[in-house]
Amino acid sequence: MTTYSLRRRLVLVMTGVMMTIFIVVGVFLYAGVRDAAWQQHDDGLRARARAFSALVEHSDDGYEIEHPPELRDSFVEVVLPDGHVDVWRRGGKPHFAALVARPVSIQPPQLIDVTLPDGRPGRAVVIRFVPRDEIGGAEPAALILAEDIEDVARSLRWLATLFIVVGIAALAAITTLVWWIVGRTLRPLDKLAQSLDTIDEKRLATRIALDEQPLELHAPIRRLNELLDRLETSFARERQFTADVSHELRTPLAGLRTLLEVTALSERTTADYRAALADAHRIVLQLGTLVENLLVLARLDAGHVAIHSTDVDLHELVDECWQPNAEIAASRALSFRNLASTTLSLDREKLRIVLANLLANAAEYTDRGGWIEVASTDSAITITDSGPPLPDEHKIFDRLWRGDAARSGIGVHCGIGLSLARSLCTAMSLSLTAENCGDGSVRFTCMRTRTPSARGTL
Amino acid sequence: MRALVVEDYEVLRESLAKGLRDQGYAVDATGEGQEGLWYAENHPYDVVILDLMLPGLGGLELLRELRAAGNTTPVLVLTARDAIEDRVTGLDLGADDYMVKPFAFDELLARLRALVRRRYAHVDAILRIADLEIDTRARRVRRAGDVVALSAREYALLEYLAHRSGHIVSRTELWDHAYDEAAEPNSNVLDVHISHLRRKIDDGRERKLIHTKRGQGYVLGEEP
Repeated sequence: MTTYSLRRRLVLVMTGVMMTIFIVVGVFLYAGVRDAAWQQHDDGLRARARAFSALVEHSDDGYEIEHPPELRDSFVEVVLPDGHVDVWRRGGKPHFAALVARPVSIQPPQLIDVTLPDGRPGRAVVIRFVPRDEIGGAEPAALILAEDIEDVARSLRWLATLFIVVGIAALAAITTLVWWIVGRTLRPLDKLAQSLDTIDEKRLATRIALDEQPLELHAPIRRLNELLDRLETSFARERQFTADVSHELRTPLAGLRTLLEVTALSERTTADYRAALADAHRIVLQLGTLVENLLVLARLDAGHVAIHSTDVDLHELVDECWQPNAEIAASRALSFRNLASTTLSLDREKLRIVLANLLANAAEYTDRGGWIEVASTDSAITITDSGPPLPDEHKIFDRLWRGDAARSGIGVHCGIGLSLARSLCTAMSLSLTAENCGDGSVRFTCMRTRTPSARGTL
Repeated sequence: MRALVVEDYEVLRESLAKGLRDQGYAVDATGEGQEGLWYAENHPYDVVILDLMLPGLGGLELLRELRAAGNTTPVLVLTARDAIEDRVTGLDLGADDYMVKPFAFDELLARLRALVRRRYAHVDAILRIADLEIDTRARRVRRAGDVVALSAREYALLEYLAHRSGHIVSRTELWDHAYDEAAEPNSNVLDVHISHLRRKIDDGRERKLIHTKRGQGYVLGEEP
């Protein structure tokens, strides 16, 4: 069993998707803001460099710088046309060799990342300009302005931290929300499980109502209800079958027990004892047939049936199968004709059970004074009786079906016999059908469904 | 006591009838529901033994019709179905007792005795009238401690008179409860049986217990 959870999966997928979106959006947003910040910073740097350059003047005394500006964290280096390098910084004019390689080979205006003389990271702009000229003939000079970038970097770091923290918080909030929403959305499934919990084999009549269920669950619930329908039907059938089998077993057992107990209650004549023994013997034979039928039926249901075909003398087999019914038939004034004369290649034992059940059925249900006739050809065996007609020619093969529900047949006619006969015929590739012949008589026909090439087929 | 057996399985029906007759019951037996109903409606049975699965009219329908017609004869239902619902349905329809096949014949007899006792408002299996003692279980009769040997028919007559002791029992009533449908109605037979019974119970006794009410019937009990 997998521990696949719809809820966990939905939450994971949603969180994953949101995380990806956050990261992509965050990265782009951050990059945009960073570029804008640097752009602004660089523009300022350039503007300040221009302002500084305005302070350089060309006069008779050569190039000079008026009013050295107030410098805080900036470093300014001016490369004068005469090759003189002037460096300004707060509190003095130290060497500023690190700023740019000399001679100035860079093509200004250019922005470069530098390390400030005090070791901090900084950014420098190089511009070329012509110093203010009062006497004419001024040559272009270069100015390098380097500034500390700590402020910008700190702002950007803060922004990045903010993005990450807000992103994580939003992600956590969204995950929680999705978890909760999915939980709520899936609640009908819990309810469904609860309703299903209440269904066991005693309450199979319960059905899941569709009204309160979301549309997506309608199809599975409908299937589930159909499954319950089928289960209920088969359980009912099984129960009915068990009840019927128990009825069919209990009735002859009750007869046998009462017969023996009553006979033993007092001294009887020899004739009485003989009659009682004959009755008991008959019941035991019937019980034997019933048990045999039930066992064959159980084996058929389980699919353990092997067919062993031999040549069967049909006339002899029909006589053998009729034998147990002869007494009842005589008591009901039924006449019996065995016209079967073919020899067929079939499973003798299974055919015996089929014929025994069909003949017992005929002997039981044919009207008093009627007739029963068995005939055969190379392709079919027919058992015809004088009626009455069957109430339903198709239903009679249903297991447990009896023409008269209250009829307490014994053993072979408990609604198992005909169903068993048909199942056995199917196992032997025969078809078994029943028909009312119009004149009131009833004919059971047993016929091959596939005709094998072998000789002596049915 | 007169019993009706409605059971379609012939061996069981015949055995029941035979066993009950051995026990002194007058028994009518049939395998058909409709016929069973006719019997039950037209004869004053002391108890009916009814199978539920019957051809034609089913046992439950028979019971329903019987009770609907106001008949209160005790009915013991025999059935091969042992599901609780079946028992409940049967008892609710007015069955007085219920036995699942196969059953012990002795238990059936005990239950029938209990039904008869209840019908005649007795609680004890031994009926006592003055110094006469009738043990309905062993079907043994004693008068002042002496065992009185009775034939089955004589016992049946005495047991019915004892159940109705103190009341006048008409000849027809006596006939109805002690003889089955097959017996030819013959007042001579009844007279002969009664005179035998009287001789065995009362002869040589100072106090007579069986009294004839001319034109009305018989009374079992001390002279009022």
